[in-house]
Amino acid sequence: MLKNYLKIAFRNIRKNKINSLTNILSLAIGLSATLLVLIYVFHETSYENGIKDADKIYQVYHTSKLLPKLAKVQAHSAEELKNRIPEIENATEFQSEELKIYKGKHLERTVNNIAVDNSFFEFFDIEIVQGDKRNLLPNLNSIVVTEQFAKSFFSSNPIGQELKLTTSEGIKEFIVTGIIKPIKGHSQIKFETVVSENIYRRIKESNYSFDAAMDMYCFVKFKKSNFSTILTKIREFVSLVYTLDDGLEMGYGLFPLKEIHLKSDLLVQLPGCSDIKYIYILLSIALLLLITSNSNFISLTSANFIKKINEVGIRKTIGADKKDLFTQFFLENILIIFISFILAFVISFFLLSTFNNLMQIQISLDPFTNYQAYIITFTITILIALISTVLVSRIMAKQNVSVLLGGKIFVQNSKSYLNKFLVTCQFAIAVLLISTTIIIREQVSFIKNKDLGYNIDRLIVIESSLKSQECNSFINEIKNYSGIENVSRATWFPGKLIGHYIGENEKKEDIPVHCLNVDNSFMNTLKIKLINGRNFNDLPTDTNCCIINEAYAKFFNINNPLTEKVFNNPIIGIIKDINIGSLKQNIEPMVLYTFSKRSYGASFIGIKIKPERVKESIEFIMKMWEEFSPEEPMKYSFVEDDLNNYYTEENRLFNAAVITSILSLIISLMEIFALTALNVEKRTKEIGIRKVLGASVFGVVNLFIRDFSKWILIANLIAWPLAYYFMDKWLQDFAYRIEISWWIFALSGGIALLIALVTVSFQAIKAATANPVESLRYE
Amino acid sequence: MIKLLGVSKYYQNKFDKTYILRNINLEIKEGEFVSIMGPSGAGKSTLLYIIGMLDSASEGEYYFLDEQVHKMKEKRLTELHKSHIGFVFQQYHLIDELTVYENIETPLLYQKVSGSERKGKVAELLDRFNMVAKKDLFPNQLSGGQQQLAAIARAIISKPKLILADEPTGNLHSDQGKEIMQLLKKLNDEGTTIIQVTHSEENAKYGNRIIKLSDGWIEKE
Ligand SMILES: Nc1ncnc2c1ncn2[C@@H]1O[C@H](COP(=O)(O)OP(=O)(O)OP(=O)(O)O)[C@@H](O)[C@H]1O
Ligand SMILES: [Mg+2]
Repeated sequence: MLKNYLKIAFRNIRKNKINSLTNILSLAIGLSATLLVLIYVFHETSYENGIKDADKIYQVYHTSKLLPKLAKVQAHSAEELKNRIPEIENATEFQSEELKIYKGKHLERTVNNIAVDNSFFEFFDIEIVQGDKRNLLPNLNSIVVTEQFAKSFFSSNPIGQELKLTTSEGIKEFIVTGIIKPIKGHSQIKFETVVSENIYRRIKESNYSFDAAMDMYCFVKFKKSNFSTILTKIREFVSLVYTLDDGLEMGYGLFPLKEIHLKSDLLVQLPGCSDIKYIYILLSIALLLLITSNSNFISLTSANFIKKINEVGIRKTIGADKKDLFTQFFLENILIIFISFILAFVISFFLLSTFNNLMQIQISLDPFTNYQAYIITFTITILIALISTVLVSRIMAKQNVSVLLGGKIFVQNSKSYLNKFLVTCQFAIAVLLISTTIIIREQVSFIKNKDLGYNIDRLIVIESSLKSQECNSFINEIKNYSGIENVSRATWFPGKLIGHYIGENEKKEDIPVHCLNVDNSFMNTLKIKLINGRNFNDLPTDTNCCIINEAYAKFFNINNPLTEKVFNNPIIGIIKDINIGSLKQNIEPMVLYTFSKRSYGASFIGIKIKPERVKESIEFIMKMWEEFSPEEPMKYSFVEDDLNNYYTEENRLFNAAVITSILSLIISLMEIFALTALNVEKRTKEIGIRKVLGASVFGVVNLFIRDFSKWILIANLIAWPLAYYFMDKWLQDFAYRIEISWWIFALSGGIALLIALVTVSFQAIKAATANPVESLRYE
Repeated sequence: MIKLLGVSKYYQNKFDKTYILRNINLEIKEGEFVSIMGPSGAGKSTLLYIIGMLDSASEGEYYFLDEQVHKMKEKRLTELHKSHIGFVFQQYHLIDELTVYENIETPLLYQKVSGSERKGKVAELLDRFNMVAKKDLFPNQLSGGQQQLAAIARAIISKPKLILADEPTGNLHSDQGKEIMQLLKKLNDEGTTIIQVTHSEENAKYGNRIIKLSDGWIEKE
């Protein structure tokens, strides 16, 4: 029996090539999207699952009114917390640093190293392959490496071998004392080598204090007690130890380990975090594509079924019961779906690297590690087969044999309503996606072209670790080079983080005030406009003065700024407002100081290069840099790229939207292509008669177009408000945004309609221009 | 074998009922060869479907081999239908996607007959109908007469007690038609009960009884 069914199913597929092909292909696209997204989701949500008691582990972070939440805390915090709070079962801390291995003067490779305290291995349940389990790092110069690192770096057994690493405190020689495995599964805590935190002199010699640098990731593991009691205790402890200064409130917070990968909003968090938002976006994309391709499948199989009504009638007369027929249709559907599933795997295989690039992730299609994704995708396919079989069987069961044997009249009407409904849904989704894509594109290009208040053309920024004096002489060396227009040193350049404090205006509202140190040529280099007063000069009094932006005057209600002061520092100039961050941020007050004042953050050197001299100037700068800082290679970037980094998310979203719209449009088109083919086939005779009676080609084509256009128009009416609603919400993230205008909808609706009409006409014209005599004889 | 008591069939419209069969009383004994005749639209096919259990009567009682068909559960109905009744149609109604061999074999599949037994039975019939050479052809590769032969082969493959033939020669040339009628006659001689619908007096003569139907009523015999 099974063989008989499968035989028929195969012959059916071969007979209805267009239909089967579009069906299989569109379903494969939907399933492929589902598979990839599910693998992605399972990958992303499985972080830290390999750690024992991960649910009880929390990251300790640093909070303050001044700074955003910081993922790093002071050294010795772990030990201190463990000693003082009995509810904490264990605690550990580590510092993560990329270390360099040099071969002579040549940088051989970088190593992802962590410097840990004594509890680290036990805390994260690290599997030790070789080495003394109780004392893995016996000496200050001990180092432990992962199996993988050992394999890639050492040719023989690494135990006892020497490893020379360049740390922030200079070159250090280590002896390998153990080999370990990385944390099982996916984890935010990644390392290739592990050393003791005590190799750093400042850590070894200091005690726990809030003055210490914050560079430790700290984790605590709870005993059974509940979260809030422990948090309160930690807060109490913090307020005891810490003496409040300047009214700045500082403290600790706790963040669940398992949520770090997707939900962390902490600054300087462990690298490689993602955002739960991507999971939602991708899931909705997969869902949309799955709905489109499935409604395609259902409508095509049921349209196809109309052609088989006669067969059903025959089978009933020769002894088939309901169950037999159900099984047959189910198997036929399963066969198509199964082929689609295999094709989906092939498609996913080819899309994998693009997907990985887009999402900046490394997933594989391996069915064993990703069995959940496969099982769900497969279950979905079975469900689709079931649904479409049930739909068809229900229609079948209602009709008696004479009707089935005789024809199609009864089924056709209700059926084609279903088809039209599904076509409408698909096009609504397609139009929704197209207009979304256009809106994202418009906003991204708006952002890129917005006047930021400064000029960033050919502006590169070097991260400088040079001392103030050296830095100035470096600037003096390069500023007279013929390819360089302007050089400036400042603690902020566009695209970099800026420091701020919280000011209070007359109404006692908290307002962040951004501060930076600049030199005399800062404004010239960035082409920032001075609207009142003067720029810094080398006057000795300037070290006490400051320059503010318009927003400062506005927020703090200053009418005559040149007569006022900021914290005892006279204001000497006012600049036009500039955007300091991404355009999601509004303009906020800002104060510029010279360098002799207290310094706000790291120091950067901005260099404006003359047109057409970019390459040679950069080469020159690099050569000079090597003279000043032979150990540290020059780290530089174009400001334009830095600013673009603010919008990587939007760019990713745009790429995803483009791909999804195209796919959904293709699937919808395949459906109407196949449906028109069926329709044309069913109506060959009618077309023949109409032509004999004198209908024009246009008249015949119109017959097919009229129907679809109506439903596509309805689809537009559904899609437009939805697109408006969602995209307006999305745009609210931006302080500077476009308004959604009607042409976007008209355009996306037009695109969908036009492509659909071309698809329909393509076949309708073929039918309309065929010789009518032939089509009449055919029936 | 077959007993219809006051059987009627109607379709319910919005406002009234359209009767297609009215108060049919009919008894057919095992081994009979009955011809049903009447104008187009008289309800002949409908009557045949009701007897063949593919359609149900709206009113009245129907006994098949002394079982009450009008009170039967669907499962028993298909059971009875597939083991005792074979259908032959004017349009042959072979399955286009299956070869002659597979078409003939299909009823046995629904009866869960084992593979080797199926092979034997189909081979025997192909041989008897001289169609061995055609067994791997598809229906559209056969002439009308050959298609009807295959359809009859399919109808009798499971040795039914009753064959219902709805204008079996309606689409055939007279030579081919004759051949089919002789075949039905032979099957009747071997003991199969046959009820055929026909428009031709000549074909009706193959049978031993004629029932005239007009506008849903049985006229006198
Ligand atoms: N499902 C149905 N709904 C309504 N009327 C029906 C239905 N099926 C059949 N009829 C009507 O019942 C009547 C009898 O049909 P039937 O097919 O039994 O006639 P017939 O005697 O076999 O005619 P012919 O010689 O043309 O085959 C016809 O008028 C037909 O229109
Ligand atoms: Mg009839």
